[in-house]
Amino acid sequence: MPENAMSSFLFKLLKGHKGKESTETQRTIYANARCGNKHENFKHAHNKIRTSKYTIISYLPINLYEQFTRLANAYFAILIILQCIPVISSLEPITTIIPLVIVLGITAVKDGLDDLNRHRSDRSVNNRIVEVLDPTNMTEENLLTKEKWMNIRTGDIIKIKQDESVTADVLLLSTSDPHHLAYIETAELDGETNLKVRNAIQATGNLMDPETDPDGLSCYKLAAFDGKILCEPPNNRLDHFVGTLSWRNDSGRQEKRFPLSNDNILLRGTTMRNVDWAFGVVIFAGPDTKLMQNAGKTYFKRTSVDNFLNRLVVYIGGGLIMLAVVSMVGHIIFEMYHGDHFQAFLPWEFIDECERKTNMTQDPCEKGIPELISGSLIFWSYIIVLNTLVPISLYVSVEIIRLGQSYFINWDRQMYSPLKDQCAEARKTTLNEELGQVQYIFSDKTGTLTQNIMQFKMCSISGLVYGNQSEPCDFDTFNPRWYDHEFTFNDNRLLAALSQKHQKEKEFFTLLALNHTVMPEYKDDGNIVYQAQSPDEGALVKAARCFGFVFRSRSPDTITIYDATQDQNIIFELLQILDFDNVRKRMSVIVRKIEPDGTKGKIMLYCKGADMTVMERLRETTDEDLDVIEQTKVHLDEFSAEGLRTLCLAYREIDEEWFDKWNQKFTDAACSIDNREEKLCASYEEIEQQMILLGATAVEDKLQEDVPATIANLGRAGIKLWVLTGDKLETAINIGYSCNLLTDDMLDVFIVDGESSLEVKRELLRNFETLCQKCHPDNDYGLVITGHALGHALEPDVEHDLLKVALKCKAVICCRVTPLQKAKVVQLVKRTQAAVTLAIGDGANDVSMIKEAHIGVGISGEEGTQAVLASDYSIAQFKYLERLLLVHGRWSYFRMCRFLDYFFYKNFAFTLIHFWFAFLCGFSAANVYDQWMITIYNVFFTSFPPLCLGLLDKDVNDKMCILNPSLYRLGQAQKLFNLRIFLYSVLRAVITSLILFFVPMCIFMEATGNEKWGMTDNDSDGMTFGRQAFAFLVATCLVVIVNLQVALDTAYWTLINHFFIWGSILLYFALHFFMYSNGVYALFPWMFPFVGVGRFVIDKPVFWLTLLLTIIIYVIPVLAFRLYKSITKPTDAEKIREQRYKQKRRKQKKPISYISRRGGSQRPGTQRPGSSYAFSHQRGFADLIMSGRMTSKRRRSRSTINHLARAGLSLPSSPKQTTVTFQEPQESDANHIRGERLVE
Amino acid sequence: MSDGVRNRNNTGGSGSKSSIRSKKPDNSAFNQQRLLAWQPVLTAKSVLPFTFTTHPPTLADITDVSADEKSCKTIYDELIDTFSSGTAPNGNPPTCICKQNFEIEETMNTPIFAYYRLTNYYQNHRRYVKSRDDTQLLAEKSYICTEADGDCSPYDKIGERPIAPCGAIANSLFNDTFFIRRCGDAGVQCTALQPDNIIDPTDANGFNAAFPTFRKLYRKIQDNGADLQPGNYELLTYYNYPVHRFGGGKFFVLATTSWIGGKNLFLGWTYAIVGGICLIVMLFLLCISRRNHNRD
Repeated sequence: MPENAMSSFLFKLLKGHKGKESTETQRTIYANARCGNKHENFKHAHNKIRTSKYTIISYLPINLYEQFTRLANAYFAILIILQCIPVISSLEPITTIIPLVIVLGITAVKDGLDDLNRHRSDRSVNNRIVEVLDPTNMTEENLLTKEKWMNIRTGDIIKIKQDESVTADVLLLSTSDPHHLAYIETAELDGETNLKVRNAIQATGNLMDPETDPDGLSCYKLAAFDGKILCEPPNNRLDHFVGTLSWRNDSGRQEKRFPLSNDNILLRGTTMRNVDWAFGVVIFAGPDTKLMQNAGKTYFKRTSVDNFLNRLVVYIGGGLIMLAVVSMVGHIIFEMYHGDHFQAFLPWEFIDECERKTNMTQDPCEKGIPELISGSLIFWSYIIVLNTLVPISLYVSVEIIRLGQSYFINWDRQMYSPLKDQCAEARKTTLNEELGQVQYIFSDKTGTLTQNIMQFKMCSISGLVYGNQSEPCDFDTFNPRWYDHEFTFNDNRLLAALSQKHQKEKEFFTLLALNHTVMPEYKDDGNIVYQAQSPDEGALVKAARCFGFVFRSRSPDTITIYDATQDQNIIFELLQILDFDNVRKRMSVIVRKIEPDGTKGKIMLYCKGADMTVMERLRETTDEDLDVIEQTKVHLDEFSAEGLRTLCLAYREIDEEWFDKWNQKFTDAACSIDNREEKLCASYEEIEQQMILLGATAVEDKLQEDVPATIANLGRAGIKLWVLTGDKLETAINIGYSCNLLTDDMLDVFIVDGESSLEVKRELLRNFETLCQKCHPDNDYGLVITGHALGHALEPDVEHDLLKVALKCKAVICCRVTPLQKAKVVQLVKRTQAAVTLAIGDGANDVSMIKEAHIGVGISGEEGTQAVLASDYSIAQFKYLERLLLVHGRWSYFRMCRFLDYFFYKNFAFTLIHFWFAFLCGFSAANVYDQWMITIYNVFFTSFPPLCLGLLDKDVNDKMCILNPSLYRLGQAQKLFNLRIFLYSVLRAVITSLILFFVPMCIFMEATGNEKWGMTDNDSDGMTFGRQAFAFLVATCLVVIVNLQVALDTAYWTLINHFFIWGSILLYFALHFFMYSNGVYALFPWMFPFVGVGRFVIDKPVFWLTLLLTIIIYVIPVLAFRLYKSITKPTDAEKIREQRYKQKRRKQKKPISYISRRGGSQRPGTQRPGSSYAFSHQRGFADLIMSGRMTSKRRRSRSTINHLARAGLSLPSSPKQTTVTFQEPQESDANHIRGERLVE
Repeated sequence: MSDGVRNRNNTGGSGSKSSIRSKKPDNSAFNQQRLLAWQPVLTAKSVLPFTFTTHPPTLADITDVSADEKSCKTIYDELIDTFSSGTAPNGNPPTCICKQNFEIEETMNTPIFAYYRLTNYYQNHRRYVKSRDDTQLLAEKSYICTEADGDCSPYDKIGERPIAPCGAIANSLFNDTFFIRRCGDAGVQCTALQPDNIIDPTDANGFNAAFPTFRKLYRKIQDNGADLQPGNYELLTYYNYPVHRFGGGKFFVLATTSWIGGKNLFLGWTYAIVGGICLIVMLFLLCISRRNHNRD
């Protein structure tokens, strides 16, 4: 794209960018080198970011440049130049200058205001303050200086405090945590709300001593830190970092090298939590940070209508040249056969030289030369005369309409969420009509479709369902101290059962209180907040707490719970955690109760997991067992039929001796080097047997309001929804069912989870065969694909197969996808399908796809503002998407198309008259109209009514739009404005212009003025009508007809429409009679040559009769044709309107078939997806808990200790200081630890 | 809600009040796109009366009036070859006089308008139209002598002296002169028309014709006693204006007017035809509309 290259060059030039090319292959950073001579650092970018486009100086040139790169504007600029050349100037330059200046001015002001906002936000970010160790500027007392963000450079050592956002990408050196850990929240970066842990390497961590220096002030050692960091060049990979630190530390004189990984890096855009302070050395700053590298280039989004318009403008340009060529040929012929002989009255301009040379001798000057010269000039003259074929005010009108439509979106009360006090916002104002053409929606799940709130809804305990009653539990009397006020459960029987100390029920909640990896955090008021890595787990532990089994604290080898039914704390010895993994889909703990007197109880294994895996391992010896299993299965079906996420719970008593043996084996397995995984699994299998089923839990993943109904309605509108989620497969499927995306009507739901590209391809092809065999429009299919498989499916040779299958499926769910994959999926569809895509999400992980899609919609939610900032539209909840698309989108599209259709029509009708006139004026590029008419026709006489059309018109009202989603399909099929419609409107314009020209011509050719009634002054009596009267007549007919046309197009007549349509016609007359008056002529004689025309024609019935005749000849056929069409082939909207019309007439209100607005289809239990052990966490947590690293000592938790002491807790003994390194699971970056820890 | 509205109306109110206000958008009909509106539905019933009412009166009246006027047109250029073959330089005395007989069939009442009519004469040529100087035409005498607009070229100056009025328009002023004489039945006795009741119309300067065929008012015969009776007349022309070379034709036209102006057959007939077509279309649409209605 040379244009892009050019503009980027210009940008650089004007912005004063350093011409640094990003050919950096490796980056070297010298820490603390502000004053040093290590110039390496100075080559790197500063921490100043800039998203604005213009500066004060560059605003005008860049903006004008941008505007003139628009084809239409450039075209008019060239025209002005042409018009300034006297020989070909068939129109005064002013006729183009005035409209162009107006058009450019409006756009420039708008762009300027936009950029001003960007400047403001940039400035506020750049001016944030951070503390930095500046060796050049430190004092004895205060080593740290405050510095603005934008002044930070690579190599600087900065101090980040708790809850501050990280200034730049830094290498963690030291933190207030004794183990040099730091916790970060990456919501802004990747949308994950869970905390992640980062650690400093031991060597640098020791540079600070949090024990003696709790506020992190005495950082002398850090100030002397002079390490050299070698690392990868700036890139956009959020979960990857490779580097080494070379440093001569205190202990050795020798330079040592330490490997650095992503675990040691804090990225810009994250927020630090749970540690008081951390020091780090900046490695990437400003534009080099991964956040900014990931931000990617903001592409200027163009709508399909935009692209089509550009194409049309080119076509019109071609047509213009053709007309000019025809005129040129005509002119040459005319001058040869007529003009030559007419020279007595009108000599040729270019004859002089020729005549002079030949000097009238017998050798005449070469025949044809003057004609050809004149002809080639006439070509340009006609380009000028016919220039209005390309509508100058098109783009600015389109922009105004879009702006107005955006305001209507912002103002819509029905998209206002009282809960969040937020209304919808059109952040980009250039895409509205595309909202009416969406065919694919790519949606995030968490926060978009679901609220990410889990609620313990129901449970089945040894064959009894609880939670299906209506009256809420009275926790206040049952468990006043610990119950969570937000928790509700609708069944008092369960409380009764617990009060009566039913064994199974107690066992059930004990299990929930013990079997998890949740961390408790004590608030200052003594309340516990659970830090769960997945909301499901949190919901279960919270439920147990409310039912009187309060998880109080954990240590590496104990768990303390408080039993409200007995009003005492119970301590369990934690013997082993059999951690969760994707294959096992279950998790167990082995515990032993420690009675208050110190005796130890039985060893128990508590297991919870997906029903399939748990059911396989149950004891089925007694009738009771079988009974419970049978009952529970029925209940599980019921639960999942309601879209609840289910888990089965089971327990087992273990013989002590047997356990010791097993434990030995287990320890061996855990320590073995080869096949550790398999050996562990085998030992897990061994112990998780013969379990007794306790029951099942049902957790509701709360959907956002009205999600199923919205999805159903969007589906009826022909929009395909693809859900792209970071969730696990089962969770995703479950949600798919609960929000109506997957239904039981579907013949099949394909699951693609291959591990290699070959496998994926095979799976896809197999599915495609299935699809083809039972190919029938009524057969719906669903496709679920995992992130890993998706990675392969997106490879160039597989993507084709993916599309084949995916496009035939009604619903597609991609789970465990990365942000980049989200964008790639969108890109794939966008690239291969000529369809409009919309991406909707709420987190920063959706940013890439929001930017990639034609339309990005951000949900303004709790998860940071990144998505909203990157989006084109923001709405408060998913359900408003329905109204945004079906109502605003459809209206916008409808209006824009009607407007464009009309706009081309009016300009063609206006301009083609010149062409017809050419045949009668010797193709001399004479124009029909007064030049003022040409100047302001587009600006005043015909601009406001179509703007009203584009802003206010509607064919059906909003209720009908939502009730009849099929109305939306005309936008997807581009039915309202396409090449056919355009050609049709050109044809109409041709006919109009023929009528407008030839009817007045035939009448005026021989017409003479009439006698004046009762007036003695009859100057004009008997006068013929000249060129100017004809011009005025044609112009009048044109303006009236063109405004009547807009009146015919208007379906929704508000007072505003009336005002502007009739006002435009009145304005035309008023302005013309004013311009043609003597007074104005006397002031500016050279500007208003049409003096007296108005006065001349005003009392001529021929004039008015011709006007009337022309209107009738035009309007009656149009009306008749439309009537004919609406009778024979009514559009959907017309049918609906007619129905309503009839209903109103009959005065009887037929109930309109309302679509059920209730969500959650009740599907029969035939094909449920199976229960899902829906924890989104990974394995590896058990290790952490058992190793004690997570429960290590913390200075800050003194208050917690006090609390516990007051509660009379005997705290378990201190765990041995661990040397186990923090191992991150291979799969991902997900060490989601909410890390408040218990104390010794 | 009422609070919100009150705050909004209270334009001079304190800023703090408005900052607490919720972001809930205004409930005005315009903002919510609920403006009262008329939504016409295109049905046979609503359209047909409209087409119907426009026609009968216009049909009858306009056709009538526009055909009623009398005119008499004669081409006089045909005789040029017999009298003269050269072109005459402008401003010189007439080089030839041509004579042409014509007949008036009905009495023409005053005011009668005499026109000259030219065909194939491109007065609407861009360069022709442009070839004049408005400033000069409006200006004081002193100005005229000093300057002429470039557009007037080549009729802007002779040598160094500017031409006023300059330009092709002024240069090609129609300068044939007409006389009509009434002749007896035998065509021998001819009487000249009275010159004192013939008015020379003011020539509005910029009024070029719109088309290559045009007529322009030459004289008005206004006196009441000057009605032209049916009979033979003779047209005498001082022939100055050459049109033959470019294939032009010159006509002399006598015509009267009514309230609608001169005779205009096109206007009348078009109204008649359009009216007729509308009637047919209307009936056709009524038929299919009925049929569709019955089918429903």
